[in-house]
Amino acid sequence: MAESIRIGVYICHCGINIAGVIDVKQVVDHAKTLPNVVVSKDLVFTCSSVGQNTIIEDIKNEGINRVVVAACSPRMHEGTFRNAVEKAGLNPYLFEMANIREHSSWVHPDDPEGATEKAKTLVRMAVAKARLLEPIEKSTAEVTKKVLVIGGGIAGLQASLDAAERGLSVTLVEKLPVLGGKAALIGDLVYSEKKGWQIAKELIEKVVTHENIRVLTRTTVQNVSGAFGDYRVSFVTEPRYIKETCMHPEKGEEVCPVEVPNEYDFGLTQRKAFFKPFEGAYPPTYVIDMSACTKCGLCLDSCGKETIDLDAKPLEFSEEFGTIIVAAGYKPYVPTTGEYGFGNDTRIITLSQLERIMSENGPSFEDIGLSNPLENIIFISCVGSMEESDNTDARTYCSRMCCSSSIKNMLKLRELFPSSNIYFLYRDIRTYARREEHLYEQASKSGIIFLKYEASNPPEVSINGKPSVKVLDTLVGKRIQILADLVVLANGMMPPSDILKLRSLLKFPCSPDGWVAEAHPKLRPVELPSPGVYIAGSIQAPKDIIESIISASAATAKAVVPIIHGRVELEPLVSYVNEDICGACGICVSTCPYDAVSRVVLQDGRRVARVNPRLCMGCGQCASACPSAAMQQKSFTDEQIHEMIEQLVV
Amino acid sequence: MAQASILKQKIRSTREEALEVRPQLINELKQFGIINPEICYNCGMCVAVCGQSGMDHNFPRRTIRCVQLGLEKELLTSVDPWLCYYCGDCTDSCPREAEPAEMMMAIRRWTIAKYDPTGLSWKMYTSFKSFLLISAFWALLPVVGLLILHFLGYAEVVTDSVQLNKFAPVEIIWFASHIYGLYLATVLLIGGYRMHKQVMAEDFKKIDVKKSDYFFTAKEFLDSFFTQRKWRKCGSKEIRRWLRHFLLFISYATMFTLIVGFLWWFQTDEIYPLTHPQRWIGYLATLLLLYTTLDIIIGRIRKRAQIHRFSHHSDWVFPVSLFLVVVSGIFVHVLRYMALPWPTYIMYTFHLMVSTVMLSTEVGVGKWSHLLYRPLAHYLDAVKQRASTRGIASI
Repeated sequence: MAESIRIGVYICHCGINIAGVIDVKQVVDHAKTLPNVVVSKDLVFTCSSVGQNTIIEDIKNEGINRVVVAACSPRMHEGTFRNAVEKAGLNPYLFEMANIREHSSWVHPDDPEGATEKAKTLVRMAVAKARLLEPIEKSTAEVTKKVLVIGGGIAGLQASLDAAERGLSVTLVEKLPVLGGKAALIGDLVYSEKKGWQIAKELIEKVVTHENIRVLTRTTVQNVSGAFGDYRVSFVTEPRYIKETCMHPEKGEEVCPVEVPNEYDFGLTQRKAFFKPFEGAYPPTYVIDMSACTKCGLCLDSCGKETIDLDAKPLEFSEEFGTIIVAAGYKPYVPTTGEYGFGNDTRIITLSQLERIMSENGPSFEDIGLSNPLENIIFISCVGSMEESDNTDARTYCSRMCCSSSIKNMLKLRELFPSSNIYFLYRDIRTYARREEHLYEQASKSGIIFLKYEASNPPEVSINGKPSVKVLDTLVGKRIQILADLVVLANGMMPPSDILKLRSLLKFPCSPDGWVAEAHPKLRPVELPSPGVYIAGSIQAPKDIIESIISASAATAKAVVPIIHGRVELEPLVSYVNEDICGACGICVSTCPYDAVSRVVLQDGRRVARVNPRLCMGCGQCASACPSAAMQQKSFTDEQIHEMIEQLVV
Repeated sequence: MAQASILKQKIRSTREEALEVRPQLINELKQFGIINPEICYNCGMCVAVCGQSGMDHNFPRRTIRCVQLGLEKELLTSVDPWLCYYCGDCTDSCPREAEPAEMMMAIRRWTIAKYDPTGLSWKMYTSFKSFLLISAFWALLPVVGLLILHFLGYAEVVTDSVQLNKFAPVEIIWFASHIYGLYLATVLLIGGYRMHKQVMAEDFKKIDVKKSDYFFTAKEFLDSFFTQRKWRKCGSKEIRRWLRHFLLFISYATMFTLIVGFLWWFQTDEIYPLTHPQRWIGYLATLLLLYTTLDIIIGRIRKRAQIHRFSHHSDWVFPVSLFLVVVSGIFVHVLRYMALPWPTYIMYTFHLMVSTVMLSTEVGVGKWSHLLYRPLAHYLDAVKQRASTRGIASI
């Protein structure tokens, strides 16, 4: 190396955190004896402005070109010192930190001598590494000015709209043939003059007419490659099989002989394979469910052969995006057959099903065979939520919206059937949101009976002519029995079924209960660990409509920032390959958790591994796995590590 | 011990057949004066402030829950309503204004009607019209009796001096009143037997109740009957109410004993000197009765105290009829001393009429049933406690 290496070592007292145990002077003196060390000082608080200025002054005046600070954990102040070093005109990566607080003084308070010796060793190792440090340049990459939103529920719609309003180009993909998600299936909402489907409709109208938004229904994400700022995403769009030229699609539905449970009514009713999802759905067109279709051809006869193409092929295409917002929503928990009698009697339904019955665009009580006024109505809370189990995958979480939704519907049922007796068999009432407590109050004053049950002693439902619910009332201290005309199981929310696929495509972690784990629950609640990927709505955890909209707007606010900046800063401490010695064995390719390493063919025909610095997170797994030492991690090269070990064992 | 019995009850309850809910019961109970039990959210404030409820007697909270669910059998088999002295502290502190004290009162009325073998209580409680008709029947009974006596010649009207014992011969009045008393006592005791059967029925199966338990706890009945000492565990202001009630009880009991036990001595045409105990005991008891009944009536009219805010028509029966009995009794006395034959006879007849009505309503819808059921409840509770303590010890 051309210039001579001049190292400055700074030993921090950290008040008494370090100096209370370690003899700092001894460490300072020891550092002075090490080769290339020109300055060795102790500072009471190195992180203070006094401490930082000392380093800056020494760099300027003493010609120091490598800095070692022995203090706390790099997690705490590495950034602070790098900034100081950079301020003094030195490359910030010519800095090394020795952790003599967490690794020495704090863990050996009873052995000051040993702790001092350990601190000396740690400093010696850091100095040895510092001697081999190289300057590293930060690099940036251009960002594609497009946002992808996955999921066309209210969160996805709101996110698309927010991004488009900021002038960005948005692609919204929805796997179903209709937009609006679960909100479009709901009628009255808690304290909202607008109904669920009206809110969905309003958002849909704004989204589909917006010039910056492209909406793709029946479209799923197949693959994601590329990196932050330049994600390459491939999609498949399933055809509707019915052409726009078909003038009377209702005829096709009429003749279709295939009947399957209607997922838009949560199985309350049947639908045809040739169907229109529900009244008022957008897009308002008919579609053929190919997984159910038997290709009998009856619809061809009634609609005309030229208007229906049962052999239409799915459309595959790919596009680049700067950032991605995941808003894939949730799926309602479906009780197993026999769970609280579910499936054994038509009078036992889920809360999702009841929401459909109460909604203007859903079936009526008559449609499901309940034509008489209901006398006794029982709601059972926490079905599929708040499970008390030691299983790691137990749904121990609260689904949050079911209490308010149940109570809202109880009050509506009370209006429909004024002489009815309504019972709520609950675990805990969590009408947590603003104004919802008032709803609970209203319900309780209207004579709805709230019966608390314990998880260890859940209600039993049997069919005895009518559904009969037995439960131990904790207040009476005895089991009581209610003959019900309607039992509503307040089913909770579950992560959507395609969360696993999205998880492998976008590389995000999930909590043990299956929901997406955000980058940080408090500091980065709408971001995922992969840069440039954000979450909106209830895929994160059970959320109500308000919370979904809020998180969608928050996620969009974050997602547009890199695009507005135009360039993204890349992680500097990444891996790199010495292509001269790489044997292209591929171990690094399979080791990398971020798909950052791939094999490429050089111009001379040789195959080597190559790291995409946009994708590399600097974890170092490839470097430790490489059998030929061709893979190196910046600032953690084999040479540097070996030198540190050498200093440790002398 | 209390925890152990609760635990035992819990274990037992899971094996038991479930109780069928019957929410329509609320409508039935509303006729007895229950206000709005639906709005109670079972917070338990009432139990916390109540001086009478405890581990084994979780009222009014449990009672109101039984009302909400319509668990009729639970209400009838529980002594809880009778352990309440209606101090009103629960209603004072109820955050929902669900009127728990009033509810306990209404349950007591309802249980009286349920235990009553004649069915008259039910009619008198639930309909004011029926109440008036039944009262009229009882009021006419002595008039008809006197008319028959006179018609048959067993009695005569002496007009030159007051000869009450000729107008209504004391031996016949004595005999008739004892027949009437026997009837009332039978009705009351059948009610008491029914209560005993209901309250103990369930527990006979579960805990081994022995005859000795009844014997050794009998003092509970006497104690509660004569002193109502447990009342003093109620709120601080209740000592005065207890004292007034105690005075009422003493004077009523004295007067009752004088009239029923010593009618010969009492209903006499001989005029004793003022120093004679027949006169001063009588005057003292009369004054006390007059004071206490007026006190109750004024309290109910003013509606100042929590418990006086709602008055069911049955609540008026006791003070009003007793007041009328006392006043008419005083008038009989005064008119006799003034030597006015006809006014005395008429006033005497009126006195008999209101007395008959008072006694029948006291058994049917009022104080006499309280007088029996409340001590009986304390007694049966003590019997159970004694038996269950032994049961636990033997486990």
